[in-house]
Amino acid sequence: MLKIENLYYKTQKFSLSDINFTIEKGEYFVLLGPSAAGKTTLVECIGGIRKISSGRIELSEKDITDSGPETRNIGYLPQNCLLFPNMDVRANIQFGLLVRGYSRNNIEKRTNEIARMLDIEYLLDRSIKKLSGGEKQRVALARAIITNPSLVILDEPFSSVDVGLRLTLWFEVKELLKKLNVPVIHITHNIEEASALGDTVAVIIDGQIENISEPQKFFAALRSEKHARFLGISNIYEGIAADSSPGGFAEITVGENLKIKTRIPANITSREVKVCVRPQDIKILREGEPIKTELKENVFEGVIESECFYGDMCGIRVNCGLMFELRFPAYIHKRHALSREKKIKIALWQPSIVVFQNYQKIADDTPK
Amino acid sequence: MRNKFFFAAIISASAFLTFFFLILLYSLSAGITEPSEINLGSLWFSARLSLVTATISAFMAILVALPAAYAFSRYNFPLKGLFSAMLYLPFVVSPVTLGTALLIFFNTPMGSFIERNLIEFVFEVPGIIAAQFAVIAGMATILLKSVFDFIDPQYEHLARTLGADRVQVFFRVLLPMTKNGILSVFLLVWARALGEFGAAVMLAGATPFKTDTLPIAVFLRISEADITNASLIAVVTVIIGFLVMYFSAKLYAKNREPIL
Repeated sequence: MLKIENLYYKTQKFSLSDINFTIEKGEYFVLLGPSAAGKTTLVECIGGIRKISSGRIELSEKDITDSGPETRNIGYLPQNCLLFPNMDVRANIQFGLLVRGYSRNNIEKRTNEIARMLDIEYLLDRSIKKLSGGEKQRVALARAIITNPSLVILDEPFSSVDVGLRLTLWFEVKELLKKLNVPVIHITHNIEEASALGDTVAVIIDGQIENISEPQKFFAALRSEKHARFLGISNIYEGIAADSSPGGFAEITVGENLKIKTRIPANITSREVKVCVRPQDIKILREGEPIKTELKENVFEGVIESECFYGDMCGIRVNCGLMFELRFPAYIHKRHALSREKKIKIALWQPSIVVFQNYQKIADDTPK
Repeated sequence: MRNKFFFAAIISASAFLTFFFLILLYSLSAGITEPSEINLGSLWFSARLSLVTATISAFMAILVALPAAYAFSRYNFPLKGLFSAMLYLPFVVSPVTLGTALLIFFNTPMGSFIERNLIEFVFEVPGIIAAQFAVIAGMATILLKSVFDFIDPQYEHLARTLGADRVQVFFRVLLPMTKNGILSVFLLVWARALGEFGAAVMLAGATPFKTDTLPIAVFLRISEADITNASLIAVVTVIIGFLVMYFSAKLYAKNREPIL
């Protein structure tokens, strides 16, 4: 088990603050965040490469806060694999055992076991210069896990792998690491990768953990506009809540005079709020069809201003006095016979509407 | 038109430089006018002395420069900028000045103690080595630092997470990854030590068949108006230097190849 308590790390340019989480044995923990959010810095702190300013790191019930990286027993797969260029595949894999003073027999035995497990026996005597992206990945993973680590860290492991191979590797790697029954931290900026792989997903932005949840729930716990934007939510509006009583329903005025009715979260203390809705959570309504209860409260009429297709998905922008972006499977476009300039009715899926405090607005309005 | 002019300009400059050095080389070989007066014994002594002293001083410089360059490349420490500037001293100060500094040092109580009880440097062969070391040690550190700078420290971090301590990281990861660069720096400083004259002549003097390295021998022959032997020694020095530079450049280029 890995336990991080009140971890702080500060440099002149960047800081990680108040990091707390626990990863159980066998848990696949994904650390999701945009570039420069502090993902790699955090795992470097856990790996002992960076010395933390304060806090506590516990691994397998041992306090490792002040231990050197060589004694923490962590298997680390860095970005771009970083295979040692002066060694062949076998020497790369064996490095960890060699520096720990294992006997030659044990090293060879363990190398063959790991190579069989990862299906890379045929690569053992090759130069690393002749490996493909996927092969490099497997060799770097073999090197990371050959020492029976107590924690495995994968830093953007699929960034240099072709898209076609990536999906296969996602599941292969997860299945393999599950067998080791150790905590795993997987860093990525790819939302699909995080959803597909994580037992738990932590979103990190600007050196702070915004949210830790199951992958299906990480859209529901938005805490800031940056958080929402990183998760691909483009419909974010400033608004004023008519009734700021927390926990109850209220009408929020956004844009010129558009009213959105939704539940106000308990932590909202001021009328200045931001409202956001995922493009996937806005539905197109058809005349004459019954409307679900969750959609009834927020029905708007507007004109399609633009549309675009990406793969088997389609996106449109609808002007209802406020611009809403919608995203749906491409066949929906045909079913509704959508086109530019067409007038349509849309509805927001109320349970998915997220409201959070507009701290920026409050700060701007506060007399200095 | 402008492109043609630019192309002509770079070709002309390169041709001029090649021609300039060929003329110098030709002038040296043209100085060997009296083959009957060639003194191979003296040439052999100077060549052997130069090779031995340059090899020892280059080894010593690399030995000291390796850890120092590693420290400069990977760590921040107080007064780093000041120490770093001091490494460039031999580039700014003339070798004669460095030799004078060494000569004065060996007249201080500490220097005299070393002279009396450990090794004699003044007007002796160890003086040549000390002078060469003084000229090349800073240069070796600066060049090795740039070799280490080229290696991503992530390799060292990774090796440590795999269980290697700092010593193992240095010897098992960093040194093997930079061996071509280190060899290239060794050859460069060795060549510089081979051609060292000013500091060596100040500290070790110019005694024939004792402290006359190749450049000192050229100076001695010229002062005796023996142009044939001076030119011969100079040509031999140029050939050695050319070969060393050629292989050094090749090794350096190999070290700079993309790693993956």
